[in-house]
Amino acid sequence: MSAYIARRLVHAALVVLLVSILIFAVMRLLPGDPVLMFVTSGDMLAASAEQIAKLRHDYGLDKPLPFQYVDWITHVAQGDLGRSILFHYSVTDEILRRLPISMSLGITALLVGLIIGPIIGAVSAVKRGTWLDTLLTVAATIGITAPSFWVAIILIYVFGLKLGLLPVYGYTSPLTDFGTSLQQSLLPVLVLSVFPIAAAARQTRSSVLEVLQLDYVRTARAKGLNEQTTIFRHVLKNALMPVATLQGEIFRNVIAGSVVVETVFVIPGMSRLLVDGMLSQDYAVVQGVIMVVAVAVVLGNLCVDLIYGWLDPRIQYT
Amino acid sequence: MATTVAHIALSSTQHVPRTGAARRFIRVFFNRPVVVFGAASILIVLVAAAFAPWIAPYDPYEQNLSQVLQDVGPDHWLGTDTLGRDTLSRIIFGSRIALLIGIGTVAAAATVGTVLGLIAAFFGGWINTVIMRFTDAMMAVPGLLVALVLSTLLGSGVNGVLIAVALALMPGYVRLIAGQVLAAKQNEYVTAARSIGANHVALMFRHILPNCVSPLIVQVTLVIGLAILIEATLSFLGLGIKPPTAAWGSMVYDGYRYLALRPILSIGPGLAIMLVVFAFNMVGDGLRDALDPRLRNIG
Repeated sequence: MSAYIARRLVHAALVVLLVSILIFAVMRLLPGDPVLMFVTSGDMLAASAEQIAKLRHDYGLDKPLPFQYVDWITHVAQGDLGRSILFHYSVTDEILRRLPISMSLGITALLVGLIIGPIIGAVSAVKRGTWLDTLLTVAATIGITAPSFWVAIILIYVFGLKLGLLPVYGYTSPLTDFGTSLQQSLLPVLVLSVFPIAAAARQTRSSVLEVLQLDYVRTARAKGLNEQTTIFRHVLKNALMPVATLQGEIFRNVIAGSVVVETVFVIPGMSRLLVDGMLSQDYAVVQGVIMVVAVAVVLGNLCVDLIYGWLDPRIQYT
Repeated sequence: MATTVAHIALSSTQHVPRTGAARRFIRVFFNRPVVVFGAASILIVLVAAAFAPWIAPYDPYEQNLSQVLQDVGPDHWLGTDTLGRDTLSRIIFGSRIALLIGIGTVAAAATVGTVLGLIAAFFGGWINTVIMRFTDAMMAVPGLLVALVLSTLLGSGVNGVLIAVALALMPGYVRLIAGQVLAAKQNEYVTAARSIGANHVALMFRHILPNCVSPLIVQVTLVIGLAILIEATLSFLGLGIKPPTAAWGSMVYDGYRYLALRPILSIGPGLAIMLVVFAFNMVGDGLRDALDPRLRNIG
């Protein structure tokens, strides 16, 4: 077991290292120059060639690319993601400030999906073939396919503009004002949890139907258990296994969704930082956020695999 | 082999009705109403895209400043935007971008991904390690983020978005095909082909690849929907297709500013995106049921 974890961690480190090479190469090799962007955006419009060269030198952008990469990655390994070229803040500090915001919304959405999704899926499977099943299945498919920005806009329209029940943008820390924070978080969390709920519901439904055909279920029925007990006591335990493996994909989807949600609801989270960094081609900011995302996804996948093995003792780690 | 011989023998003497794969495929595929709905929707969108100039009531780019932000009515079924352009016409023309990106990116991603996956799993060893580790790395970042970074750096626009979304989708195909090939190359007929001297290319493309086609077709259909969704999201964020080109995602964003006054400006194109993505998903599901006998009787 510990040998397995050790090997997985080595693999994870390799993957993250490759991500760092890819994102670094992509940011440098493709067109776009943050220094020119900085010069043209601010009060340095009259900057001379020497000044621009000095700026480039200050950020180490005049060195050969392999040297720049080694510089960057050694700092990253020590937890220093560099400085924003445009705004000069420390990328590490900025991400550390924003990460909790993104995580609190994202993890809440994941949990909501993990609880509500399987319930919907199980109900759908129990009532297979009825109008309720059709309704839930179609709703789940819509949930997987609906663009998150559009769901957000509909919710803003209904709950914000028409009913006036909830604020439509902004973020307040729960430590400052819990009530406002809760109100402002409701819609973003709802939008983020649409995919987790729908994906888990679909997976649960089909795996419940699969497990229902197994021998031990026939035994349970033969000894006189009613359908409800059979499903919730015997079927669901096994049927939830594939839902656990789905969590990796759901997690990646929530990260992608947060880019949209943080933009629409004006939430100062980490994903919003990526969009802003991209718009200004701020190398260090984009590279920093992508590295944090990659580490989160890789560790998330590792956790999913370990939890899967813990849930299903038949799985051997070799 | 025996069945083929028997079939030929029979067909030479009498007419035997085909009760084979094609008929079963059609029966299973059109069995579910939602799949039929999806297929019909795709057909409608294809027609709309192909004949957009004849179907659309107005020129989607023609500005009419005396007719800005018109409400839904007989002249403009879905109203007009801030520049007086007809929303319905822009949605109809937007289907061109959606289909171009959806089909174009998936064709590119599936082709390159299939070849890479095939090479990785067929040769194994260090080739496999290199390709698969890079695939792992690309999949460690959600596809939308990969597409977002690449499309911005490539300067947005249709070409930039095409390349960016295709690259974001590619690793999924590498993984899918590599897994299929690993299983397929264990088959005895592959060993047989090898023993009679088939070269690598023939083994890969003539003997192994056809065995991986069913899951590939399903995946291609499902992912067209995903590609359209990614493009729409990029355009919504202002990092995809740039105005004035009629793209559904940027239309939703433009209309968002007038949500209180003219919600249809956002909701209309959003509905179009959802319908198309839903349709490709349903057809993909239908294809899976029809092509994969193992999944029959479930669901």
